[in-house]
Amino acid sequence: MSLKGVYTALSGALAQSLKLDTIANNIANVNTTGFKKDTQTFQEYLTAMEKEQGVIQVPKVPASIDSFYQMNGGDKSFVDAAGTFTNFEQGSLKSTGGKLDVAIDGSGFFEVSTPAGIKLTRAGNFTVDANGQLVTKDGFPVLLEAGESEDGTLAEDSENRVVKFTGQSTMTISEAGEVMEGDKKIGKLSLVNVLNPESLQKTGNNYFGFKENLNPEVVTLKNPSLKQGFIETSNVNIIQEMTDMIMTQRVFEGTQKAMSAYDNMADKLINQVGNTKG
Amino acid sequence: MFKSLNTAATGMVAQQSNMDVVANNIANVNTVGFKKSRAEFEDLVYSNLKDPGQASGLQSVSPTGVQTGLGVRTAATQKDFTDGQAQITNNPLDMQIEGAGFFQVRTQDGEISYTRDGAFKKDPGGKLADKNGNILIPEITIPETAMIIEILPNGEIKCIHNKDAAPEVLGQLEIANFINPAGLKSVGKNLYVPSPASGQATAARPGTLGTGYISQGQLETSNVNIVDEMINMISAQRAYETNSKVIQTSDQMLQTAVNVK
Repeated sequence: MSLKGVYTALSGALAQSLKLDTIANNIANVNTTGFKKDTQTFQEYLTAMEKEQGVIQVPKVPASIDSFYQMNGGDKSFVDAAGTFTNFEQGSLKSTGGKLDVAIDGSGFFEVSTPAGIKLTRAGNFTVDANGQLVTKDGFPVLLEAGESEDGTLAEDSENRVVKFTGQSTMTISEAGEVMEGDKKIGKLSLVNVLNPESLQKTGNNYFGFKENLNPEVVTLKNPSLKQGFIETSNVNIIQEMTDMIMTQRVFEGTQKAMSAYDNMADKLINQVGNTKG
Repeated sequence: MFKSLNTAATGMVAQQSNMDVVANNIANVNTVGFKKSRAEFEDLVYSNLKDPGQASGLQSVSPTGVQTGLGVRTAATQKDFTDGQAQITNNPLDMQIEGAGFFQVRTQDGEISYTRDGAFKKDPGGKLADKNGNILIPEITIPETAMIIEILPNGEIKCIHNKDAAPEVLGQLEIANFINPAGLKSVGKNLYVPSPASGQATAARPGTLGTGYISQGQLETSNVNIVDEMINMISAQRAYETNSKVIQTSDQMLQTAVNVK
């Protein structure tokens, strides 16, 4: 009798607790502008697959049930977190009337210059800092497309791609991303799309960074559709999250029952089978 | 312990501050010149349990990595400087700035503060001052003999002593503007003071440098929209409840875990 199955149940419990952590984060961010929900995926992990397929094992031990049935490690498989996937589904747009609130309708990201390099964000609740630059809530400048600057010179580096207002007339951001102050065109907001969204990694503060081991394919968004005066709400669906949470809790309880069952079996094995008094 | 307990707690704190902002907006629904605020949230750092490309077995690598978020925080309370509606009072000393800009007043400690509340009165010396006795800058003294006071849209203040005399010019109002009005700090009593985020004030004649014109005999009402605030309140309350459910669920799961043995 082996009790290793208790570890299979334990791996299930750990997986469910990881899932609950993710659900909790989704729910905590239900009112966060431009937030995209995460889901955890799990896979079955077979220890037998660690062995190469062709290896023939000469039995050196007394024959057991494993000698008759090829289980391929199925009896000692456990569950493993395979990956975190971010759901980039569009969040609904909420009207704020703010001149500097911009929502992206459809796919795409704004480019923001942070001290840790260029990052992407969907949160278009921008503001202006004391120098008149268009910045995010953390004070990092939002970037224009490369090659367009105030005086028409070619600007590649991010310092020359900032939006600078004088504050003397109305700021407008058009549907295509053109930033105007009064009649003066300042530039076009840089909007990019990432063809392999799995290369994006959340870095907190509503930003997405790039994963180290994957090569991101960043392209300029062809036909951007921006809505001034709107912000994109979080795409978390409370009903879905609550249902997932109920399920997570029940599966967790199930794994605990499995552990109890193993415990009871071991108890019987040790205290009743081994009891010679009868 | 589950991270979810803490994560849900940050969610509850965030919704609490959301509710505080909504409550202040609703409390000031009839405050002259009040500008509503809105709480803005952002997600916290993520904990990386497994990096993408890291081996998850002898022959398998994790395709995307595993990360869980650790909650939410309030990033900012954003003031919304859209104009409120005009309320006609016909009081000659009530003014509304139709567009951007702030009246400048000198407070008791000698500092200059800024306000959108244009309900001015005469102080004992005849100077224009706000409800709390802060003197309007530049100082305008209304003579006792003045019968009619006229404030032009460009900020020129005139008075007429009797119907035969020509109007006397009393002074020129100036209003201040900021590059980032949302960066101003509210200090109560309808006053704002500049902060490093708002930039320096630039004083100008009304109607120049992007500032609005003055309208006499009317006041700017609060720009709070009750319907919007009620919706925000419902949303904050429900999000708060949901986060508390997460704490409950985490607690029950921990209880289950404790009861295994």
